Amino acid sequence: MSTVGAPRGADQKTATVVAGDSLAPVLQIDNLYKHFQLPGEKKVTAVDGIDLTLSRGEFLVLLGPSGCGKTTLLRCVAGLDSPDSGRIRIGGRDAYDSSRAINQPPEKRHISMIFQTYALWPHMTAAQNIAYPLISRGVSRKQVKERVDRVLEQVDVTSQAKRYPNQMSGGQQQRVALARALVSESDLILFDEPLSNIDAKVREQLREEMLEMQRTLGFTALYVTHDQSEAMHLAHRIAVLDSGKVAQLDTGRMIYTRPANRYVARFIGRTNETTGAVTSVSDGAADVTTPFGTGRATFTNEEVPVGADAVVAWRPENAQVVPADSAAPERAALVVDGTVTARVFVGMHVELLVHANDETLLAIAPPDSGIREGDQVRLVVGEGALIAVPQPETR
Amino acid sequence: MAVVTDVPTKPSAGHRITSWARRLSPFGVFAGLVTIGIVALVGFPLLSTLWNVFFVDGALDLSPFVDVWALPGIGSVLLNTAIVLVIALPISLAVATVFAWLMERTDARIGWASTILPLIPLMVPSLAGTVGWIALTSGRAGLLNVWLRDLLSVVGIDLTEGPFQIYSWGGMVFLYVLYVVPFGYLSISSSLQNLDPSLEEAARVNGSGILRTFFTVTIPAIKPALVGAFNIQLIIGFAMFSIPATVGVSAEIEVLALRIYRLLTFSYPPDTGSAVVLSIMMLVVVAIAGWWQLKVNRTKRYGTIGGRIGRGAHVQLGRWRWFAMFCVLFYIASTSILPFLGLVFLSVQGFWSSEIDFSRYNFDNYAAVISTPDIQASLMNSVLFGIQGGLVAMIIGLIVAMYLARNTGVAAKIVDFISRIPATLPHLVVAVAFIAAFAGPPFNLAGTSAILIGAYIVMYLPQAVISSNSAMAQVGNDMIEASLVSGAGQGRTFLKVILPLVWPGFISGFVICFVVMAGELTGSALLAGVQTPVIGFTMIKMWLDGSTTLLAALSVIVSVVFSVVTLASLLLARPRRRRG
Repeated sequence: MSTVGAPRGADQKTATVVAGDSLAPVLQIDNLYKHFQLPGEKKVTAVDGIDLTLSRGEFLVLLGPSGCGKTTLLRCVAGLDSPDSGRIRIGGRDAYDSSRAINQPPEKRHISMIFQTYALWPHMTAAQNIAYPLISRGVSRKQVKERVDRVLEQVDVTSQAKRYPNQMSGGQQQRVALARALVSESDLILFDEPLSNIDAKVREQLREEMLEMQRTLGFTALYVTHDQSEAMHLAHRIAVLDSGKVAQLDTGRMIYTRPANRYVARFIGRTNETTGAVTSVSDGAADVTTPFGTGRATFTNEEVPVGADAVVAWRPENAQVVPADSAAPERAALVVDGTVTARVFVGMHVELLVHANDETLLAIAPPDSGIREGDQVRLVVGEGALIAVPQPETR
Repeated sequence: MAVVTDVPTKPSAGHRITSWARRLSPFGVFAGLVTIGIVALVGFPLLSTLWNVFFVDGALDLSPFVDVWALPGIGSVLLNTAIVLVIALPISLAVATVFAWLMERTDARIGWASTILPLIPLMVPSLAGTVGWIALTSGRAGLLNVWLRDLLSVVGIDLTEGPFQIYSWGGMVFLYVLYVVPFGYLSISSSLQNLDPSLEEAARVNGSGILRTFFTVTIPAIKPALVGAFNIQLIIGFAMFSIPATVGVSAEIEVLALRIYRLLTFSYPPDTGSAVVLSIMMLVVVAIAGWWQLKVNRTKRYGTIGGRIGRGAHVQLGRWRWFAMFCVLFYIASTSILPFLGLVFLSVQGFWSSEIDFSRYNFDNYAAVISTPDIQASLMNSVLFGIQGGLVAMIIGLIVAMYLARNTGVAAKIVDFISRIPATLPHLVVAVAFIAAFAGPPFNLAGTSAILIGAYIVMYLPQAVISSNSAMAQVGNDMIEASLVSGAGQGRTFLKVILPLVWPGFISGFVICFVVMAGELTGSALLAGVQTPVIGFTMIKMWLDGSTTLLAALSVIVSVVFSVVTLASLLLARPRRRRG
């Protein structure tokens, strides 16, 4: 536990802590497995051989749909669930190691956790809730008061100190829960979908505050969510989980622009996708024969050999919409001709549904675009914006 | 992404043991000792009794199972028990549920009544209450009957008996319902207190009427408490002794509890074999109900105390409000004030007479009761034993409930099963088992307070566990997990988080335990000695001696004493959680 004695000065508030890998990892997960046996169902592998390393000050988001194992993984790190095998090291100490039969209880792991339901104890005031982790770790009474007051101020709920949870709004309750997690200055703070119960406006505000606080205070965070915009906002790195496995672990930008497989491409952002046979491969890219014509697609992960089918995909914003009769552009990854079936004005731009070759594609045009429903249009996917990933194995 | 490096190896046995020992918290050790204690306290006397019954000279002998059918009238005993319970239990559960809902959720709420309602009948022990009702409604001499006949003769209807007859099927069922309802009410109302009213408000907003909401949202949401309430009521129904021993005898409706009592006391030598076999039949029924409760609690699909707590408005009943309030007040009167008046009426007479003649009334019975050292001692003992036994039983119950909430393995099933067994045993059987196991050497506890308190704890442990279970089921897992993650061990989590949250449930469970222990009848009759008389022992002796008016005086005093203690504990039970 990194006990920071002196109160943080004003000059420190602007300091940005960057995720660095020079320091020892705060959390190291090796080859972790966890199975569930639900009554009347087959054995479910919730965590399927996961490896993860979090550096000090890093904000890592576990992102995935419900049932992908992200919460189970978080609970295994917290010690609230027991993995079946593997190893978890927190702050350089073994918290779980199946080969040496080590399994520390949650209270010995020096972590904090924020729950989806807030889990504030209804019989304690906000201040009492926040003081609890300090008292249970034997911090002196005087220090408890000091640190509680400081953290109340940090999360801006000083006025709520004497109130009981049922006298607070959802956003205030979550702030108190955040304060309770921050107060002990643990190496690692675990977040279990903390914002999913709060209304949108407060959620955005809290998200920004949390981001600022993390970058200022520099705590290490493992954050579970199913909301990709939340993940994009907060994370240094995002781990996209698929059926208990890490599908891709990278920065939000890389995950968005270079999804490692179809699962990630589909889960993050919106994509148009199709399949086609690879006819030639060179320089990490391939010529692919798609139903719309031949395209030049960049591999993001594994290459697909010539003759095999690949999934090709592009983001709608990477395709230019031009009239069907305009001249064929010279440098394009793929050109698709189709008919506009719907036109939706959403403010920043116009969204078009384009029917091409029995498929419906999404296209984006400038807000002042004159394109109407029924028009023949041509989508020009920019060079390097078309990606190719292997066909997923049929499971 | 890192590459999978090695296949995890199995830890050695040595590692396992050291890791297990390292994880052992003081609380874990304590819970383990409690578990072992329960096994010893419940298992040992029962096993030694079973051994004595079913093993003759070391060989298994199941003839008691055959012999039992040769008992005279056993078929009708079983049938009577079934009829009484099948009619009385559903009525009791329904009454308890509706009353709890009226008091917790509607504008028919009567502040004082909602708190007092479940306790009033507990403050008047069932033998006292039953005697009070006999004084009021026995066919010819019942006070109420006399008054009603006088009233009816004014309009030209002359009766020589009735109109009420407590010595009948109707009377039996009526009294069973009266005295079984409160045992379910407590767990249902505390579960309603903890249920987020927004669940019901959501239903109302979505177009459900009051009734529809009640049946489609409220009832399903508190199902664990309802099943728990049914379980308690079933156990109380089976164990009910005061009504069969008084009304049942005169109405010639013999039920299992009475037959077992007779097998153990009226026959010589006591027919322990048949008594045990009859007990096993009850065990089967209660075990099925217990398995059902466990199944319901596991699914976790019910409203629990989450981190967010809502506030709700009361349902407006309109003109039904007055009718609902009348029903509740009428119930309170029938369980307490009416029988209490009957008792007072009896207690001031030298012998039972339905003639109202103030000149003959005096307080001789009270003087006799107060001046008798034995009776003083039994009052004192019962209150003390009730408080001690109730506290111990509830603490054990809470630890068992915590253990059951977090463990689902074979060990948990065994602990749960063992803690439930006593519910199915008539108190006489527990008493007989305790005498067999602890009265003689090496323990030599015959007639001591230890054997009485021990037996009380065993007798009422299932109720303590069930009360604790439904209290625990209301505490969301995240409340406990948040505490563990905050660095608190299991002991601190228990004291600082679980205990405050289950406090109302704990106290209501304690009050039940106190009253049933202090007023316990049948087991006390066998276990209490001359040195340690208790109320149950003394009262049953008075009933059998036929000193009805003296018994009425003692009942009045007992009711007053019990009321004071119950109300005092109630003040402690006010929930700490602030409501907005």
